[in-house]
Amino acid sequence: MEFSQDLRREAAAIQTDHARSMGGMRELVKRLMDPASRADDAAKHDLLLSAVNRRRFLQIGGVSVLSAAVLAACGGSDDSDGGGDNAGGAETTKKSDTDITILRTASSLEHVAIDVYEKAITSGLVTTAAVADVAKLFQQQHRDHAALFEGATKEAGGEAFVTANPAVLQSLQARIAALGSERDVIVLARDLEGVAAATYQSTVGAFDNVKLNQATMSVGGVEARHKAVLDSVLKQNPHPAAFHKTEGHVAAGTGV
Amino acid sequence: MEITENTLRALVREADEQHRDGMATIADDISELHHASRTTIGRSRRELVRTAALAGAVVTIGGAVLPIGGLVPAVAQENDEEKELDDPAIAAFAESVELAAVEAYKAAAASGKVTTKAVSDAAGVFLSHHQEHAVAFASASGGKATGKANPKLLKSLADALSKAGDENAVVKIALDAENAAAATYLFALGALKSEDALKLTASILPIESAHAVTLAQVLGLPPTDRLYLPPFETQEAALLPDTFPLG
Repeated sequence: MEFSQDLRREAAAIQTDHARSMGGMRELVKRLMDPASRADDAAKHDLLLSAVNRRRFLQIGGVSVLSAAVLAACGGSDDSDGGGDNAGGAETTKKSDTDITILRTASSLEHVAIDVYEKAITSGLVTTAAVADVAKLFQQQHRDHAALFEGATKEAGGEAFVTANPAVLQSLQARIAALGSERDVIVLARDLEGVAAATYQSTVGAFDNVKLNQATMSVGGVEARHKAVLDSVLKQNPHPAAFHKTEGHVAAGTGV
Repeated sequence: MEITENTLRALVREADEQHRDGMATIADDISELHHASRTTIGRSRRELVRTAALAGAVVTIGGAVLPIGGLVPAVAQENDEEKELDDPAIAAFAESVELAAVEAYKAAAASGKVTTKAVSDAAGVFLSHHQEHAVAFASASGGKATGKANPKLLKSLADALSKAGDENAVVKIALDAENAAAATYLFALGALKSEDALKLTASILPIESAHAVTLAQVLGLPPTDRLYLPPFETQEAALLPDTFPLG
């Protein structure tokens, strides 16, 4: 198809404008994240992903999505001299074995979900296009979640857990092997989303770095959304109770 | 896939508008960054007050965009260092939000605009959940709960409902309210201190998120719509005590 010259010019002008502004944005983000900048957690939070700016930031750059809470939780550890402008020592990340264990468990669960969705997508069992599309979307979101938890683990001073939780995977092997229909796949995915949501909820209040309460629930709420979608596909009640429960959660440290 | 030049032109124009909208306030953001970098300990609680004052903050309910910054009293913006919310105060605020949701669902049911039985049934379930949430937050408020719907939020919701022309418009208002509640509780999780309050809030946030899913499905939103299936819950639409004070 042919496009008119003025449309090409219009698109080129927009691209130029975009490139110019993104250059500044990239530089700003780079400087913000440089430990030497002494920008505190709050500054990073506000600029990058806070209530005010998050949508704007996403509109601008489509930058990979990280939780505001995790950014806020993670920034302080780079401040090697421990002093500077960040007088809020309570907000400075300290190495916490508890936090690291919880975060490693969380990323390992996300990798289980990624693997299960991969199995679903490639199995040939999912024949409904809308279900396949949702499975791909959920898998991508679990990748985002895994990246978030892995980054938070490193920021907390630990080694990120970057593969599927072996204990959880082992417990699912029989069900995975027995998958024989689209419905089986959806039920398994729904159950996994429920386990993830329950697990993240169960961690609230357990972190040494309290900002991680927000980070995990920024994911936990999304898993609850996934579960509600899959419940509705299965024509089961997505709203069985007024309060979400932690039953079925994976205890921190399991398999990691 | 075929696409006409007019369609493409419209898409390009839309992308350009989004881009310009995003870039328009970057200077303000940078200024804000410099200001924010000076904040110190105890910030999370103050965020509940202070964030509302940042330029450009909005809450959208049913298409009505409320510019938070313009609504926050100047004194609150300047003296936010002195204003800290304790757990009971946050719980009392949450109770008022839940009761506003209860009243809004009641008003929606009474409006006659909701004509689909399945939608009406779901709204009834959500109303009962919000009622239970209100009771739970009141119990956690140490006597600070008012037992009343948040007046400003209720007025916003009532105004939006009165303007709603049909069932879908009503459902969109409910969707925005549920997402706002979830965002509010995510925000609160960064401010609360007691384990009980944290756990209570964490047990309610996913419920509001699941409500939003059903409402988005009623509206037929695509899965990629961030009101429906965002990659992360955010604080973007959080309701804040200074913007919606208790009555």
